[in-house]
Amino acid sequence: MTDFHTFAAMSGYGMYVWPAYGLAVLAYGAVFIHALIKKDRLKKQQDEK
Amino acid sequence: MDCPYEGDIIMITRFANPARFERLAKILTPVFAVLSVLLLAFGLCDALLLSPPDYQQSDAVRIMYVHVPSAWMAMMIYASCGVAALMFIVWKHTLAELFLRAALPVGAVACALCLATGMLWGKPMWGAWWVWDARLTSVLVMMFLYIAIIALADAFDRPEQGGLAAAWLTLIGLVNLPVIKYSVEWWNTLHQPGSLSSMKRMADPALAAEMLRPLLVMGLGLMCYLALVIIIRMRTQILARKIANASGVR
Repeated sequence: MTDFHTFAAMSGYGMYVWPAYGLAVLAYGAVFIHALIKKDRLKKQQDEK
Repeated sequence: MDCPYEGDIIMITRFANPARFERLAKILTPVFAVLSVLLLAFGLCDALLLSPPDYQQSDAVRIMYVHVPSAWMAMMIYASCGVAALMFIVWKHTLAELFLRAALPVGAVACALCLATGMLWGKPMWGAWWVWDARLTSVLVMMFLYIAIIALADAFDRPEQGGLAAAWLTLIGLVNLPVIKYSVEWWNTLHQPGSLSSMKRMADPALAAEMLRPLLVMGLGLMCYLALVIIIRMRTQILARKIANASGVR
């Protein structure tokens, strides 16, 4: 088994560890992107007026 | 007779001015952006690559580096919303209401992640995704509070009325914070006690230094990141109010 596979397996806990990090990245990332999109949309709306 | 808190009130009023907040936000945005990128990048490398596995939990302990900072942020954001709610009720500061509206959804996401990552940690360690343990249940109550307050804030035609109702519910919900913190001491729980829950434990932490370092770095990084998101959301709220006022919409 390669080093990468050992790392990805997380001693057999990979199926719990990676979803935890994946969920965190997705949720926190979505909060940031949503905030930016909403701000840009309002700025455009303000510029149009 | 002079008010003994006059200086404090002037200070609060000074920072509650939206124009002054805009100026401060323009300085703080890049600072928090750089700090969060640096801290989270180092924290993630440390958490996943450098920190050692636990002697009992093995690599499953790495879930702690996202679970615990999310729990800290969910509680910290709720506590700061409590302060903002009090300021809005007492002084009717618009900025306090804007903070409440901007921070609550961010706190709800942190709380949901705390619960979700806790379940992912609980399954391999306890053999169950969920137990009706005092700590888990009190955090679930905080999640319901977040959802209820967000819904209540938008349930009125007049935003000020919604803000006021949300502020009162936030204040009432503050009772839950000590319950969450001390639940592991007041009741027999499956959940382990906090690693840094008191000054005594901070001086002599239950965690090894190699584990404490990524935990604190991830905590600080997440705090800077969520502060950045809240600032962006507050500026968006100010912009939305400006547009609504300009078009005569309440």
